[in-house]
Amino acid sequence: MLRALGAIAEALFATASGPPPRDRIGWLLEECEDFLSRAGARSRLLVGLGVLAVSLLAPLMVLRFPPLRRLSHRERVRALRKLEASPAASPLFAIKALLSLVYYEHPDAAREIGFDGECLRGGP
Amino acid sequence: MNVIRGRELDGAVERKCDVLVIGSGAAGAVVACELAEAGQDVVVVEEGAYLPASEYGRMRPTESMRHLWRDGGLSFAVGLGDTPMINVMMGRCLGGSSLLTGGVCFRIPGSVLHDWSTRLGLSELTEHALEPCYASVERAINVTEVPVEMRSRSTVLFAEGAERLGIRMLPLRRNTKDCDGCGRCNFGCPHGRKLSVDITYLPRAIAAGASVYSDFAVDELLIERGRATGARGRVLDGPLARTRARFRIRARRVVLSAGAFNSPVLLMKSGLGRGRSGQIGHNLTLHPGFRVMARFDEKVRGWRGSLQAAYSDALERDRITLVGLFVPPGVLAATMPGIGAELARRAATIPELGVFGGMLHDEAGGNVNLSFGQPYMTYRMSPLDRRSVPTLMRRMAEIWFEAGAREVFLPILGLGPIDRDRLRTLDLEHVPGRSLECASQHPLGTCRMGTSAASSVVDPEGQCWELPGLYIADGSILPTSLGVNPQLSIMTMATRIAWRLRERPLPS
Repeated sequence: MLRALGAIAEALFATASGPPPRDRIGWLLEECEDFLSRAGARSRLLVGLGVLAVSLLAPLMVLRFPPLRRLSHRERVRALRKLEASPAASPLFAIKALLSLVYYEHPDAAREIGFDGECLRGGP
Repeated sequence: MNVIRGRELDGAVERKCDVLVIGSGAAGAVVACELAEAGQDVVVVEEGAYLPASEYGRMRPTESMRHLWRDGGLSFAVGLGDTPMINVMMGRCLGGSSLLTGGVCFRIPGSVLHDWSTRLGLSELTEHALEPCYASVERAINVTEVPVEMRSRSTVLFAEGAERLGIRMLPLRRNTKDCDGCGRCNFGCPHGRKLSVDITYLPRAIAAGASVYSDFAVDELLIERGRATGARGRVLDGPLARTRARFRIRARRVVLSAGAFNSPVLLMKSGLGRGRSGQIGHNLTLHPGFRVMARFDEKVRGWRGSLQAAYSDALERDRITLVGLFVPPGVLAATMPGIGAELARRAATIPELGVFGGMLHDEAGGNVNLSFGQPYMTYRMSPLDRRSVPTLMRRMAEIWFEAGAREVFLPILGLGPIDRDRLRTLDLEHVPGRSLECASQHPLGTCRMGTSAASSVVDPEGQCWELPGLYIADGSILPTSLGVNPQLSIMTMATRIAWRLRERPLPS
């Protein structure tokens, strides 16, 4: 499941210059693995089903064979865009939520979007 | 705090006590404290882990979710009919959901008490009768009004928009002391300034002689000759919740405070629910909540400020309460449409976002069920509640535009940002339920209080009709939703039950 999750994350968080740094994706997957190991069997099953659905459905949107991770980076981005705009987007929304929650906690990712985590009365 | 951690114990645990309290959240901690201070031998068992405030305060939001939240925050009520899937936040740690609330403290609205009294016959639950209980709790957890200067820019903007539309915003009361305004109370206060029960009631209970066990998951109540006499279960060995040993605790009285999800589940697992009322697990209310975000032409940095500082009940006629909030950037990004560079571009506008919440004062529409040993929640919005959702979204969007927002993000999956013109033409009345993004922090009502065994689970003293010797004190006993955050109400009702128990001699 983690490899499939990584393939989704690389496309989801790509910028104009390409996918995020490899070590950041590695960190994201480690965090997701730890998260899911503690989240209980039901949550793991739900996330697993969501990842599977995205991996299978997204390539079909751009007339390619699944799984998603076999597609080139550019095609993956295109496939996920198409899936997001389709009526079958629900599993992608769920996986995007989980990945985004964790990804933007990475200090570099947080900095890139201007989140400093400061309190009103100064300091973090 | 001297908590006995199950993960550090070896071998089975057998104990006897006067009162066994199952659950250490807002209600369980209050009951344990009040009874221990009255000289009773109290044991508290908590399924979740014990993490001191200094430890959870350092956690990132998703670390907090995996250590403090049930199911890592991925608990859902399955929406039936035209109802969204509802993400339900529940604590699973020492101190329970009190660690995860925004700290908002409301008393039970007078109109709700009036309804309970006139329609349900709970005539003892008057504002006057509850006053000493409220006073006791409010003193213990330092309930005070949030000063205007602690409002985040996001809240200030929303309040300005609301005032321009004639919607009056009022200051919230919260249980904090010297709050720094870090906007992340839902993940445990980073500085221990939210006075959750792990900081207030539980240390007092322990000081008065109570034994508090973490990592103790109750499987079943012990029942002898038709009376509750204790509980048995598993000692868990850590975050992955593997069984390390077994425990059995016998008690002269049992108080169940496991919350509106787990309390009915435990009753069902113990063979109850086949009795006269058939109400166990029914009447679940959630206060379904919706977040509406807005983008401004300025840096709002909505995380700087009190997480929840203002509210409005001006839309109560539509069963809507507007309550301030903020969420971590990851959550904000997740709700923005786009993949790759498009998402990155939108995520970079997060500092420009304002966020505010609206929740429904819902009619009972859900159930906690147990099938093949697996508990789950279902929820069907009543037609009245469902009709309020478009009203909520439209009114909140109008407020944001009035405040000067450039664009608004409604809680509709897949819908991009909208401007004023788009809001006018958007057919919100026909957005399917499954497309709505909805969350709840207030599951209530699944073991409701009443005056008859035929229509409720517990009597007005909190004692279970079907099982003498078992008292229930948590959000599950509230007979209807409140329309406001329930933490203070739950603690007040727990105080009332504890004070009544204090007066009753323990059974031999």
